[in-house]
Amino acid sequence: MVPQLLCEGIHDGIFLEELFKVKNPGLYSHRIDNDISKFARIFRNPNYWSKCSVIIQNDNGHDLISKFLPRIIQEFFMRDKNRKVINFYVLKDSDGEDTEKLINSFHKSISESLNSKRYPEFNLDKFPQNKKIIMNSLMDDRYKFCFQFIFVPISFEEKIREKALAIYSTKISNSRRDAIIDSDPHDALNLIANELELDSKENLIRNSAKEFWFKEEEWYKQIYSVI
Amino acid sequence: MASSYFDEKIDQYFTAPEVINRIKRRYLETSRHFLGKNQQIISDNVFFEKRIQSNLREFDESELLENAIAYNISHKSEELVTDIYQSEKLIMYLMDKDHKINNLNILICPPVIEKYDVTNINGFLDYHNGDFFPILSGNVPSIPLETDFDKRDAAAIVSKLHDKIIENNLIGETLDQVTEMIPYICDIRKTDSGIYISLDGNQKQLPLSSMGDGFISMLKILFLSALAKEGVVVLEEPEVSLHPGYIEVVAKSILDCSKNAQFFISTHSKDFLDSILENAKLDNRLDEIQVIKLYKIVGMHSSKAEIWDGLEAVNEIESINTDLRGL
Repeated sequence: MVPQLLCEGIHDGIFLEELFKVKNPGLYSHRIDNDISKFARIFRNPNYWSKCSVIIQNDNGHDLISKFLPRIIQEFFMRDKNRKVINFYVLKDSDGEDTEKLINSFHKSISESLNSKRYPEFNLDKFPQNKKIIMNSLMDDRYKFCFQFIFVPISFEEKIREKALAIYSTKISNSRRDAIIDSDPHDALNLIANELELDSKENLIRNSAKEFWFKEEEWYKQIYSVI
Repeated sequence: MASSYFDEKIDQYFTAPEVINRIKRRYLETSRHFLGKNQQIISDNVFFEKRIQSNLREFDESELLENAIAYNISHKSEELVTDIYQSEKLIMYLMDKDHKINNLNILICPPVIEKYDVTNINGFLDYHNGDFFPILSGNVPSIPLETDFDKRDAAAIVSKLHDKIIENNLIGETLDQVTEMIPYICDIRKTDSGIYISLDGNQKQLPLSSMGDGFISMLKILFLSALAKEGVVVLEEPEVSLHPGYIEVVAKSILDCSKNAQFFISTHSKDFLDSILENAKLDNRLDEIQVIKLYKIVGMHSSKAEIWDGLEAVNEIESINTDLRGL
């Protein structure tokens, strides 16, 4: 089973895709933007699993925990006899919250969602210190889903803004700098991309992966080690 | 239909005097049991013992008791409704010679049953005889049932359905429905060489077999729903062999006809499901739709069902584009 990366929103997905390309030139990754049905199509096609080295899925930026993860579990848990233990790496913004509290809250949210759908044949265990949620089948203990969470402090867009202002301080004028700081982080990416004469914020995000902007950061080291 | 039947039966059950008396008796026994326990603890205190006996008599006769029992009955009734709706069920029916359901047996199955591979229903029923709890068993008002599982010559099936429509004296109202739904049709007539269609602005009648698959499917659905008025229509993969354009038309026809009959449809088509939901959304009828998605659990000889109402299903598609068919 190839590693699967789940993340929040399209920006994180683009970043992970580029990072994988940088680390593994020549290997094939597949990015799926907020489309569970596309993942279902890939899941049905064994050809993908032999040719693809990583699958990156992102949600619409809001529903990763409340909808996306429960749906992944419902659709794909215990569905293929060849893939009994599946590891998912989940890149998530911490939004300044305590990460152990977040794991507890995610565990509660996922449990409630699955229980409301009468999906009882599993144990959902949480390991807040290790930032893990593990799902074991009660029907057959060989089946296991393991969600390893990796938290970006505050948010990914905020990180890009912070690093761009630090790395390109000489290229960005003081007035533009103030506008970038005052903007919503998502809008700020467009302003930075303009300042750096990049076509789009997508290119800005790809550059941040190519130029290893976050190499000193813990979340980056974790995600880099698993892709 | 089934839900109003359940509601009516539950209501009848909880208003029957013997049931009310039984609940009352059990309620009082529980109350006495509770007070009796306290009595043992303080049995050497004569004053408390007398007070308890006196309280118990007062409690029996009080208005408070009646209210408490009424609350208890209403609570039990709600619990039963929830249990019945949420439980897995086994439904068996008998049909009369006119193809109408006149005997219905609905049994609640314990959850463990779904872990077994049901290949022999009789053996399974014998084995699990004690596990079933019948909630409805016996004769019911006649329910028309029409099914369509045959994927061969659709024009021949429509021709047979047309005969049944004539036999049941339904041709007038069915033609009205057909022309309302397909305005370019003027008439449908059966001759010795088959069914012929008269189209608006075309003097020549066309044989049904020369019409497109979508048109024939639509006509079949109209005929089935006319025959099953106030009853049940079961369709197996109505989208098979249809062009996606026709799938939209057939989905719309089913939705329109479902005002007169309860449809049960199995499908493997994402286009068909999407179209049913989109049309229902446009007609503000999403709450009338249920999508039941079946999962097969690999290696476990088991399956699970996930049930969405139309609104939840649309929400799932719009937010994360879930494929409602499953894997």
